[in-house]
Amino acid sequence: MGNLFVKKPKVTDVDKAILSLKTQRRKLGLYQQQLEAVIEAEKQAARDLIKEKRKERALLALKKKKAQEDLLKQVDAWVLNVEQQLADIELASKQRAVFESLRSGTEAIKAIQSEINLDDVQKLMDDSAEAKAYQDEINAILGEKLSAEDEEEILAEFETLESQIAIQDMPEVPTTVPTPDVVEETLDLPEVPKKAPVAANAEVDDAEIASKRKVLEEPLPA
Amino acid sequence: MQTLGNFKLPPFFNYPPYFTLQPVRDTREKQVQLWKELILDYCKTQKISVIGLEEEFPLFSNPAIERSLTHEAREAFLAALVSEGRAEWLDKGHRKCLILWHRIQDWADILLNFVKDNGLEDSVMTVEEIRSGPESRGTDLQGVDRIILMRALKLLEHKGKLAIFKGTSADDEGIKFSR
Repeated sequence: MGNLFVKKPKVTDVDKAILSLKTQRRKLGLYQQQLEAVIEAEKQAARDLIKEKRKERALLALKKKKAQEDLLKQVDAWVLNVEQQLADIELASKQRAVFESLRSGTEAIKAIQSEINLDDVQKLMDDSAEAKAYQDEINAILGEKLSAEDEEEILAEFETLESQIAIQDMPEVPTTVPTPDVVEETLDLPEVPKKAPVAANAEVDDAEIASKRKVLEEPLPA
Repeated sequence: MQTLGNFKLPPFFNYPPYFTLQPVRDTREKQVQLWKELILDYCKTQKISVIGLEEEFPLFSNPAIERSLTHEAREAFLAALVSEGRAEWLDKGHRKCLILWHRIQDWADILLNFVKDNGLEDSVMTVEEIRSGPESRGTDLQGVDRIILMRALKLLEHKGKLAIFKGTSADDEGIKFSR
């Protein structure tokens, strides 16, 4: 029924020491107030006695006041000591807290690192490089395969297509405005010889030239 | 408006009927209500936490109109506060009453805020320091009644927010706040 385990903060000896010091500080504070009150009273008494011309008694009052003042100075020094020690304890406990966190941080890093073996990492990197190299090889081979075998076929197909298109283009010319096209065709002719280098091409070009000349002769008489 | 010290008294304080316990139920309820509020307000501003029924309490008499509350009237008003949870009888004879112008839970919350505002987590304080130390100056905690403070502290201890302990016999009671 509910939480039997009430997690109160643990009270350590350090805490008890702090409690003692703080109690002491408070009690000394009260004592200081007391002394200050007595000092003030004696001062006033001395004044009154001087007014009454009772020199002896006045001097006595002043002496008492002086004694109390010395006592007060001493108490002030004690209070400073207590405050200093409280500050030191505070500082020491904060230092310890910092040290603890740094230590647990270091332990955490060590634990994580211990899970990773350096040799394993090296092997992993090597495997990875191997796999990549293999992949590159495959790519190269695939790429080569395409260019070596098919490139010739592609070229041949390309030239066939080109000649087809050229032939197609010729008949079309008469249907459209003759003059500009004729000019264009004459422009075409000079180009054809450029493809002369390969023997096969040269034959094709001759055929082209022949066919083109034939066609040219037709529109002109018209 | 009359004042009691620096406390402004409400107008009804000057009407004699209010000092006599009214027999008619409706008027009695109104009267009780006004007195309850007045008592709480007054105690809050004057930081009074205990009312002794047999003692002279300035609020219970108005010499200007020559009226003061009878013992029966005082007891009636304070009993009303007790049943509302804003006061507690300190003894069976109903002679002393603890006034909770802040409920104990409110005091506990004030304490928790005090700890937070002053960064006191995980540190030690004496009970006296909480009442009269430099940190509590200007807050409600300054000069708070010891009984109320101990009650609130015990409540928080029960919840695990702090631990009450004593060092050597010469020490004050100490409080260790949790982090």
